[in-house]
Amino acid sequence: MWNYEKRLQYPVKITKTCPKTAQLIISQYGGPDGELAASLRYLSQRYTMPVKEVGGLLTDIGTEELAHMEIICAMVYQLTKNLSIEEAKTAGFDAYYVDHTSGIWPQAASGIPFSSTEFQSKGDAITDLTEDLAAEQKARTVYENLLRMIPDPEIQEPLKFLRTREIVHFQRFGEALEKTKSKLNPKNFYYFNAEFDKKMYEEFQRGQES
Amino acid sequence: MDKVQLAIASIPTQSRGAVYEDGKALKTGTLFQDLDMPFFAAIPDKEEVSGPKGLNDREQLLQKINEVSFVINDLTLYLDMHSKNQEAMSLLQEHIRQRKTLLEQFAREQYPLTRDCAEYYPNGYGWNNGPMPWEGACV
Repeated sequence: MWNYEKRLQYPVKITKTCPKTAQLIISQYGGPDGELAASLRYLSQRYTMPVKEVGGLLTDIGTEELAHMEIICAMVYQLTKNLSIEEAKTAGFDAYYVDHTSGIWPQAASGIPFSSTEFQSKGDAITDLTEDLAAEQKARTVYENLLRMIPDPEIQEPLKFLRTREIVHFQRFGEALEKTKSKLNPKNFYYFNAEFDKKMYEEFQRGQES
Repeated sequence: MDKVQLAIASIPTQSRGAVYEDGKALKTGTLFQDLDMPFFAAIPDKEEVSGPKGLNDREQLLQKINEVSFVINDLTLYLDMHSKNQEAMSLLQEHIRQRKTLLEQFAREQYPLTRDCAEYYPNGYGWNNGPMPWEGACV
């Protein structure tokens, strides 16, 4: 289960209303490479991982992604909480305003709603970990695209933090893939799927031990 | 990583390397200096000293909790993949001890941040006290 802690992992204190910026940053809430998709990806994939430590890592990173989702939502909230109707009209935020006023709703910067089609849980450890490596890189690119466009330090600081986390998570997923590979036959990692062809995987493990 | 094979991704395993102090780690987004790879368009940090300025007592204590807790987050992921690293393990234990003390102090002086430290709050329920984390009062 989860416990809530009444603080953000990284502090957010934005003093200016800017719906345009909110409209861009919201992509990391409900967009294709956003934190919600990241969290659900890892928390969905973990159940069937053949290597226990990798299931543990997915739990811990999936949990951290929830904290990142909260950071992004806090940013969107603070950028729009004092929104005037004039700002809603002029800033390119008008369509969002009509549908959600200044409520926080998971969507991409393009307006496409959040969808679980944005991630996979494939039931194959190598496939899933390779997806996770790519996911961290895609999110890093989004943060860099945002950093190029938004010079305000109040907004840059949390984005910089989140970007670095993508690099750290990439490294950990790489190590998780190495750990998984070490349990498979190095001559052919694809002879069986360790998550589904469990008997073959167990037999292989026994063969390694003896 | 013993050997690089065909048709599969390979990532070198991280050796622990040098670590930042807690404040710098939170500011950077990682405890590990080897994983700090900044992006050109992110404004370079002029002040070397970590942490925001002009904080009141509550905010200072919360900042310290954020720093110590973040080191625990990053070390946890490291230890998930390097469970035999003794140095990382003792650093983790040291920070867990610090965090416990700080959470207790925060509950006594302000309000409980977790339900497990509600027992230290002297004036009743307390879980509704303090600003919500997304209000921006938590720098």
